[in-house]
Amino acid sequence: MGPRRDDAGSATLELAVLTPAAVLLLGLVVLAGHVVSARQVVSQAAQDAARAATTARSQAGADSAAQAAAAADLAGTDCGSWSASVSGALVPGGTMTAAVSCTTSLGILPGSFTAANTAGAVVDVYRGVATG
Amino acid sequence: MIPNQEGSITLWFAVLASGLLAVVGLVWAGGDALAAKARAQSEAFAAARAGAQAVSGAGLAAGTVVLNPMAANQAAKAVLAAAGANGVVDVSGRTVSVTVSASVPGELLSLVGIATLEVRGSASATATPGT
Repeated sequence: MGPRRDDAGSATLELAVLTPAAVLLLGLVVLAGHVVSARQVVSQAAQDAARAATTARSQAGADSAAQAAAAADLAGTDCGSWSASVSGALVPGGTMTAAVSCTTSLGILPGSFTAANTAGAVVDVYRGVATG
Repeated sequence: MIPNQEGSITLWFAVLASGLLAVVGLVWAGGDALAAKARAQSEAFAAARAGAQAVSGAGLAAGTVVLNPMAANQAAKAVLAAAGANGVVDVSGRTVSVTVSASVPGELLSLVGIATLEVRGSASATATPGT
């Protein structure tokens, strides 16, 4: 043994131990991105769906308007499968609530994440109604 | 003399790890803050719209569109309350302006002293006579 400690190979060993940890952290970045993005689009889709529902002329029309609004928001996003539903009475001054949920893939990561959100919108007081 | 390099990769990793954690924290809290801002904006719009529908009956009878300030304020506040939002309502003439503020937990950013992020959304709606 000389005066200097032999540290040959220790850097390689450290690299071997720390690389998986670094990859794990990178995975966490990807995960955070996908989760946050899904939560954002779902929140926005719920708000738009609720507002779209309140502008419809009939209860059945409200549901399809909400579906169409959610579909427009979720098109082109990671939401592979999603669902939207609307509840509440379509009466002037009433509140309609839309619930949207989306299941997104996590990109290069395995597994999936489901985000869900609801939003309410007030039906206009002075509005047209379906006749007959 | 060869310098002792022990720990150099560990140090490098510590820098990388804190950088990556900072990115996670920013993405997470920043994304949540953006979503909260969009929501605050939409709630502000909803409240302003509801407020702007509190048209004064007496005004209509006289042939003009004016708001009943009290009723407009109440209607807007009721919408905010129903949404669980915190906001300020201002009625001026035919226009109702609403500013909603919300705070988002900083999550990982609390490690660097940012416990909450404040977001705001404002909107106004004006009652206009139809044609």
